[in-house]
Amino acid sequence: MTETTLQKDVVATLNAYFQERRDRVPVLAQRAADQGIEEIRSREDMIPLLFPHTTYKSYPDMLIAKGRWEQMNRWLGSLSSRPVDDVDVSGVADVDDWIAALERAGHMVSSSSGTSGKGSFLNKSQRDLEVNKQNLLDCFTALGLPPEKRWHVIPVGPETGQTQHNGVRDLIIREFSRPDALPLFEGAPAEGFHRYMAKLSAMRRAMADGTAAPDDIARFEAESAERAAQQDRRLHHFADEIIAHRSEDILFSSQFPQLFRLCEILREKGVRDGDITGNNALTSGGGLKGTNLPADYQEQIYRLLNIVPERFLHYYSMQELNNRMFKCPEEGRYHVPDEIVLFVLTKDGSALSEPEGTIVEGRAAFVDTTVDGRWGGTISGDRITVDLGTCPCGRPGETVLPNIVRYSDLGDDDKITCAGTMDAYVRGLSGE
Amino acid sequence: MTTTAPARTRIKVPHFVRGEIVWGEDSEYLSRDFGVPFVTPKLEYNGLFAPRSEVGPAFDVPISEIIDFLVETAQYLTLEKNEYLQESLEMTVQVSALPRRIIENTFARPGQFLTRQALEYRLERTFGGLDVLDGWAERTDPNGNVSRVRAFPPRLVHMMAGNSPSAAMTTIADAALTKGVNLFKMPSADPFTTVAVLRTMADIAPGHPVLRSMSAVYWRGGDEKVENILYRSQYFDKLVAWGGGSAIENAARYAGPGFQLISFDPKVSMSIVGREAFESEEALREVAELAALDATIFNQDACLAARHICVEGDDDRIDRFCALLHERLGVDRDFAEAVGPKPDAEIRDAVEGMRFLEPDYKVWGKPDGSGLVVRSPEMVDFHPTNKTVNVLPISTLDEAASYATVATQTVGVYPFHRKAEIRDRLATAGVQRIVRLGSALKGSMGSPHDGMYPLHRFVNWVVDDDA
Repeated sequence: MTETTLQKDVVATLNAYFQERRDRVPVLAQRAADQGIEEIRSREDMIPLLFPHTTYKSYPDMLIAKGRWEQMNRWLGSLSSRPVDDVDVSGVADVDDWIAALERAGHMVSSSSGTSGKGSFLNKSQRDLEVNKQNLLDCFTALGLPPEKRWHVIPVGPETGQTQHNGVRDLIIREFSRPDALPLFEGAPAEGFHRYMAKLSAMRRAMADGTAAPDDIARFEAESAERAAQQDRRLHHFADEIIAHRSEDILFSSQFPQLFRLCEILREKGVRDGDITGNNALTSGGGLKGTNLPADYQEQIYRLLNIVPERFLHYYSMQELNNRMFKCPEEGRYHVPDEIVLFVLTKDGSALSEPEGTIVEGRAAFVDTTVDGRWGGTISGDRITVDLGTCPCGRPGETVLPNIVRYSDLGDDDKITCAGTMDAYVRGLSGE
Repeated sequence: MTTTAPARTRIKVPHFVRGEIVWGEDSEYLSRDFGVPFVTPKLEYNGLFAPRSEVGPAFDVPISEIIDFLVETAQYLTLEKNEYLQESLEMTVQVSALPRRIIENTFARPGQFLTRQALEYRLERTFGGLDVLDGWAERTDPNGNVSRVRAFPPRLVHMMAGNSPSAAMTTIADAALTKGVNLFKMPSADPFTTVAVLRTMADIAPGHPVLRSMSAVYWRGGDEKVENILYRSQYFDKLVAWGGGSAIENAARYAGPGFQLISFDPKVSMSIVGREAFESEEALREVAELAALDATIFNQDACLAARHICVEGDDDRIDRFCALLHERLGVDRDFAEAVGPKPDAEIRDAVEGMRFLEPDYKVWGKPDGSGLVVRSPEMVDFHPTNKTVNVLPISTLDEAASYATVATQTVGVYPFHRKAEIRDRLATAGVQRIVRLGSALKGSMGSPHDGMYPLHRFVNWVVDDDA
C-alpha cells in the first residue's frame, strides 16, 4: 500500500469517527460549529477538534465544594456521548456518592488528579472498559506472556478504589494468578479516593483565600499521613511475601513511584540484588507522575526484582485512551496500534509539527477511535519523539521513542514576572 | 529538533561592568517569551563588584550630586534622541509578547519621573531627611546619650523583572540613590535596556563613581553554577527580587544569615464597583471604561492589572455591566491591544464548559484575544489572563474584601469616595494599595510599594554610639 493510500485511509477513518460522534457530544458539536468544520478532509482539519487533556477538569471547582451535583451532571454531559442530566443525584453527599450514582446509570466515570487535587472526570461506557481490558490481555500475549494461571500477582498500585482500576486489577488476578497465590493485603481498602482528592483541592483553595484555620490544616495533614502509612503497610506486607516467595515467579502490576518505594522497603529488610531469583514480570504504564527518583530508578528496580525486558509489559497510555502503545522489548519503542491515530503537534497544540526525515518531535495528541463514552480526540501534556518509519524490531506502525516527558516537568527558563498567581502563596499540599 | 524556527540572527547583548561596556559572544541563551537566541560575553566574576575590603566608589558622593546626575540622564532618555534606547527597542520588539506600538510607548520617556523635586520628595518621605544618606546624623536620646546614624550604602544584587524600560530606570535610580555596590541580574524578557540606560549615563559622565558601583550582566536565572558562587553574604547584603517565578524561588534559597531577601512578590489585582455605577447609563459606560482600563494594562500581563471585579447589584444589572465591559476590553489603548494574545487552553476549556452552566455562570466574548468576561457566583479557579475578567456579584461592598488575599496588590474602587469605607478591611486581608478605579497605573510620588518603603529596606542602618 502506498503512503498516500494509507493517509487517505486514516483521513477516512477520522471522518467516519467524527461523523458518528459529532451530534452526540455537545462540546464537540459546538467546537465543530465554531470552526465551521463539517467534514474531515485532512489530518489538519482534526486539530481544532482535539480536546486538551485539561478539558476533563474544566468544571468550576466550587461545584464540588458546594455539592452542586446537578450542575456537575450538566458539565459532564457536555463532554459525554450519552445524556447525563437524567442521573438521579438526590441523596448524593460527596463526590464518591456522585460517581456511584453515575455508575449505577451506566456512566463509568474515570478520574485522576494532578498534584493540585482538582480531579478530571471522563465518562466511559461499559464497552470502553471492556476494550481496555481486552487490550491489556492482547498486549501481554504480544509480549509472549499470554494469560496463564501460574503467577503470584502483586497489584502494587496505587490502590485508588476506582472501578476501572479495580477492574484491571481483578482481570490480572483472574487471568494470571496461580491457585495457591500469595495473599493480597487484608487491610482496609482505599475508599473515598475522590472524596479525599476533593478535600485536597478544597484545602488548597481555602489556604489560598485565607479561610483555612491552622486546625483544619493540621487535621488534613494527619489524614494524609494516615493514608500514606496505610499504603506503606500494604507495601510492607507485599515485601514480606516477596521475601517468602523469592524464588517463585511473581507478576507485578505497578506505577514506578510505588514500585520504587516497594524496592526501598525490600532493601530496608536486607534484600540485596540477586537475592530474588524468580523469573518475575512487570506491567506498568506511565512515568514518574511528577515525583523525583534517582536517574537509574528503573535499573535499580529491575536488578532487585529480577525483571528483564522480555517479561516487562511496558506501555504508553493515558486515561483518555482505551488502547495501549506497547513497548517492544527489542528496541524499547512504543508501537502505535491501528485503533489510535497519532498526531505530533507543535508545543502549543495548534498545528502539526514538521518532521525531519522520518523523525518528528512535539506534543502528543491522539484519536482513539474505539472511545465510546465520549469523544476520543485528545491533546496530551507530553512531549514525544516519533519515528514515522518502521521499527527495526519488525512490528508495524509508527513508534514513540522512550524519551517521553511532560511539558510541565520541563520547567520554564528564567521566567520572572510581577503578575503572580495564588499558587505561589500556598505551601505544602500535594496529592497522592 | 524538528519544529525548527526560521533561522534568526543571534542578538548581541553587551554587559556593563563597573562603568565599562563589555562585548562578547561566549554564551548563548534564549529569551523569555519566544525563545529568541541572544549571546553575551563570558562572566568574569572578580571584576563585577568592589570587594568588602574597599569603600565603595559612590559611598561618599553627595546625594545632591547623584540627583543632578539622574536628572540629567532623564533629559537624554527620550526615544527620538537616544540611539541606545532605539537599539534596545529594536531588540525588545524581537523578544517581546507586546506589539511595537505599545513597546514604543513604554520607551518614549522612561525617565520622566526623574525630577529633582520628585526625587527629593521621595527621599524625604522615606528617610525623614537627606542627612542620613550623606553622613552620620547626630541625635541625643531622652537619657542624654549621643549617637550618629547613617543610612549606609548597601551591597545589593538586583534580580530584575524586565516589565518595562521605566522599571529598569527605577532600579538604576534606586541603586544610585542608596550609593551602594550593585549587581544587576538582567531579565531574559529584556536583557537590553538596563545596559542602554547605563551607556547613556556613561556618555554623560564617563567613569562616574555611581557607574563604577554598578554592573549589569546576564546569566540564566537559577543557574546554580553562577548563583552558588555569587550569592554569599561575603559579597552582598541583600537580594532584591522583583516578581515571581522559578528563577526567584531558586535565588531565595540562598537567603540566610547576612544575605537577606527583599522580595517584591508576584501579585494579582482586583476592582470593586459599588451600586452607584447603575445610577445612569452614562455612569455605567464610564465605569465599564475605567474597569477595562485597569484590566488591560500590558494586555493584563502586569501585577497591577485587575483580574477580578466585584460588582454590587443584582444579576440583571451586573449582566448589563459585563456586556459594556466586554465591549471596552476590545479597544486599542496606550498599553493594550484591541486584539491581544489568545487566552490559553485552560481558560478556553473552562469558558467552553461554563456555557453549559448558564444562568449561574455566564460568558461574554470568545477566547480570541479581544477580551472575555466571565460572571460566576464564586471566584473562578483558573487564573484570568490575556484580557479575561471574572465578574463576581456582591450584595454589599464589604463582601468584596473576602476576595482579597495576601496576594492582592492593587484594588481599584468606584465610586472613589467609598475607598474609605472598605480600606481597613482590604488592608486586613493583605491588600497594599487602594486606588480610584481606572487609576491603577497612576500614583503619587513618595508612596510605599508592596507594603514597604523600598529604599529604607535597601540601606544598612549603622550607628556610631557614644553611650
